[in-house]
Amino acid sequence: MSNQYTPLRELSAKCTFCGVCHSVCPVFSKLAVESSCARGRLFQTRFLSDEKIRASKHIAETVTRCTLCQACAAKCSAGIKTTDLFMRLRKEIYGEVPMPLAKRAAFTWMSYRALFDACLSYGAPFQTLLFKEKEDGAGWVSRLPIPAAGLNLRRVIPKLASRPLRRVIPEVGKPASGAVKAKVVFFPGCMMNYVYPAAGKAVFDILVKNGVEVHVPKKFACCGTPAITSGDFGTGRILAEINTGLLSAGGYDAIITGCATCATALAHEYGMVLEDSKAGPAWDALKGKVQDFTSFLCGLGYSKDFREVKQTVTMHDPCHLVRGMKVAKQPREIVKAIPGVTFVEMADADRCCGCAGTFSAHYYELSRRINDDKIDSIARTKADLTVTGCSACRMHIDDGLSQRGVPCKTLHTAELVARGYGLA
Amino acid sequence: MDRETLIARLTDIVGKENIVTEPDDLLLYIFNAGPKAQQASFHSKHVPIAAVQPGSAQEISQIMRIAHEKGFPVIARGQASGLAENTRITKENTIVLSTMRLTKLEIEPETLTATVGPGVVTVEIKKAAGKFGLLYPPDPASFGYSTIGGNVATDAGGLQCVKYGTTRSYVAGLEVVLADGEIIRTGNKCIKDVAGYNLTQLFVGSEGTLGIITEIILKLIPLPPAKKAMMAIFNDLEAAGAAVSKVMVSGVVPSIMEFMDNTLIRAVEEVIHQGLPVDAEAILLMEVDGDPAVLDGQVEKISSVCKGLGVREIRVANTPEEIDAIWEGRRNCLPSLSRVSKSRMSGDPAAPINRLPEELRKLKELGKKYNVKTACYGHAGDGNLHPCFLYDNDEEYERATKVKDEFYAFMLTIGGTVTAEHGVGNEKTKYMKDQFGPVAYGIMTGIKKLLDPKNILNPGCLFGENL
Ligand SMILES: Cc1cc2nc3c(=O)[nH]c(=O)nc-3n(C[C@H](O)[C@H](O)[C@H](O)COP(=O)(O)OP(=O)(O)OC[C@H]3O[C@@H](n4cnc5c(N)ncnc54)[C@H](O)[C@@H]3O)c2cc1C
Repeated sequence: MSNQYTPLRELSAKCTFCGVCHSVCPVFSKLAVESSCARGRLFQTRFLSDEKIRASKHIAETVTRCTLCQACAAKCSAGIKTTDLFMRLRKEIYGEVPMPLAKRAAFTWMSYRALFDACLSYGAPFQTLLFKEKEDGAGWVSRLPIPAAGLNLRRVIPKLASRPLRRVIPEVGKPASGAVKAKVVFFPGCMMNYVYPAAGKAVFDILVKNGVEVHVPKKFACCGTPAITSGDFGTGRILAEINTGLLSAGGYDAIITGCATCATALAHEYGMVLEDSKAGPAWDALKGKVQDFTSFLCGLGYSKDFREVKQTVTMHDPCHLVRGMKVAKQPREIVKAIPGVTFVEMADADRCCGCAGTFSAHYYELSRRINDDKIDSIARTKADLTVTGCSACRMHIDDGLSQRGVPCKTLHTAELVARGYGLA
Repeated sequence: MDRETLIARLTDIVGKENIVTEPDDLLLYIFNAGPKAQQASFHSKHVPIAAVQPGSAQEISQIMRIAHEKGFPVIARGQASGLAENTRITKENTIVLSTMRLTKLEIEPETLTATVGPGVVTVEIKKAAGKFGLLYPPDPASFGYSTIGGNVATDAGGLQCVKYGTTRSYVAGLEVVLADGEIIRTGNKCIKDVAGYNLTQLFVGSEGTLGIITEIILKLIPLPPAKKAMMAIFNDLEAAGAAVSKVMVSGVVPSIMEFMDNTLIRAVEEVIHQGLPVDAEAILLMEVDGDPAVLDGQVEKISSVCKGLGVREIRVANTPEEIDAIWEGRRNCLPSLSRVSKSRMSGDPAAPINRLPEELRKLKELGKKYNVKTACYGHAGDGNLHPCFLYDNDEEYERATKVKDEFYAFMLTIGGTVTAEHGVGNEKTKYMKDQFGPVAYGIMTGIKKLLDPKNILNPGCLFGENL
């Protein structure tokens, strides 16, 4: 017997059912049932391949109830690449079972780059139709519950920026004086583009300050993560091809991101969606150049020309940064170099915050319960500021801090560094 | 009672978030870390009727009342990391009772005890005790994910058993829900207690066949102030084996004394890239702990014993990171074997510590006889080995089983036991009569019948069909 699940069964065959994945899984920590964690899902794959069970709405539910945080993959002694496998599993299941309409529509919209860009760039004035400001100024809350978009009434989300990043920074940034140390392309990603342009500007300014020539092509598409992680490899591939084309042109020394999720997509996940694409070879040539701005700066050597920033700071490691890109030391090194910063490590800094993009839209209450642990960790540090290298994590942590009334602000790591340089 | 009524009753007791009834989800409960599930073709005749996650002893008591009255089998399940098919579903209409929500964890430094729920993952107890400068010593390689309930129910042992004993030595008292729903308490926080039969210890190692453990009083000890670890590298397998008992009688009591053969050295190195000596025939991994002033002398002494047996090289780990790296490698033994073969059975027999060289020879011999790949690692210092029988398909599984059977029979002839760690489960029931003889075995079945007359608690485990 063999079907579309058989290749996945092969990949999962080495599972010894030891349960180490249970001990690190944020979803298992809340639900504690076999179907909620990696080993259960691996054995589900086995059954799908053996046709002991069939894809169904219910199976699709259990397979998407995972934040893809990679904690299980990092711990698995059998070396099973669980997270990749689950994305492929979603793809196959959604080949048999219809994907929820809202998701399908959103991904189609994303694949029309210009339309997507226009909506998010000019959408800010229309937000008040749907949202109202929260009294504590933490962001918007929805006027109506919109379950399809994952908006329940208490979720606090940031406002769309009135001016997207591409209208805040120039297309090319050149160091004011001295030799150009490197020529890079900066891939800001949607969150920095449309929601947190200040963070994008910070990455841009920091690079220029450190003698780097920075290019930001205007025509980038979304990196594709929401589609790819949901198993919509078709949309993922369209976006990956657009971005691969732009990133290959220009002869850049490095591809810099300030968004852990985009970085992981560009460096790893494109491999899955471009498997038999003509853009495959171009991607092979560039994937090794993708770097988070902090690891790039540490490699290049960065200016210590900081001014004092008197803050107690803690750091959350985004899953896509710490496990996706294996970057955790570098942002700490830079932040600790800023005079005045008192750095306090939070417990389980590398544990998933529960956001996971579309996961928090679909399973908002569950993602909040996972986030509660993160908020507890933050609260125990008594820090003024939580910094992180992922805007989605930041959004979700902000939501948690606001709802729980914890007096701590959040910033993208780049914004704190930019303050240290006196750039913001 | 029909399925619908049962599910409605159970849902009333535990709440609808705490019961699994979807058939596709229940299917996942037929698995455990034991050898059967490793077979590609594995499927169970029986799928549980429901899996529940009760939140208290009272809820468990209500569940047991129904099960007892209506004859539903109940299997307590921790993380299902048991290696002896301890949680195999053997009967129709089985209720799986997961302990995941019983996570009480209180440390009482004044009495050197911890009071914990069975669903607590063992590493959490170690962490919590550590904050008070205390140690919970038992450390099965699975302590990062297995539950303390599972550890107590299997009397799990670990690396430090050689000095500190197994889980049993640290269980001072229990709360248990019996088969009929009655709740009892055994033991207490006293250091000494000789009143009557030791019921606490009867439940330790009973593998869920006598009652559901709902709370555990554990003994703690002061955290040893310092430790050092070392790796002795041997070119000769039997020399490594001989070194074990020589070290054990040298006057030093190592807190850990582990053994890994060449197959394991290579497999583990592939996983963790630590620079293990992939060309060595065997390594011994040892640790000494206690007063920092005496540790160097102990390391010296062990080294000189090993030198007498032709050791190739000795590496000493001094910093916590180096020490941890050694044990991280050791903990990866079993899972890393998935890089050598698709599937594996890992045994856990033991024999007196001076018989190790013979055991290693026998294992090689049997592997050759049946053309089965074998590997071996284990807790050499306490005589407990993990012979591994590797296979890639169902036909090889049959041959691997023959090797295992003959090896176990051999272990009994040299005064050993078929299980020193993982328990009998559903895997080793066939060896039990040989190990005990009819009279002692009869006493055990008698105890089972007294406490669980309807055989609803983990039926099949320990006794197979012999009840
Ligand atoms: C990689 C790996 C390494 C391992 N290393 C070791 C080792 O070094 N030493 C060792 O001893 N074991 C080891 N094991 C085996 C296993 O981890 C232990 O047997 C452990 O104690 C099982 O715990 P669990 O939570 O997984 O229990 P489960 O497997 O779920 O259950 C084990 C048994 O305990 C019973 N049980 C569980 N909870 C209760 C309860 N509350 N009341 C009554 N009965 C209960 C079950 O019914 C079952 O019979 C290892 C396993 C793996 C996969």
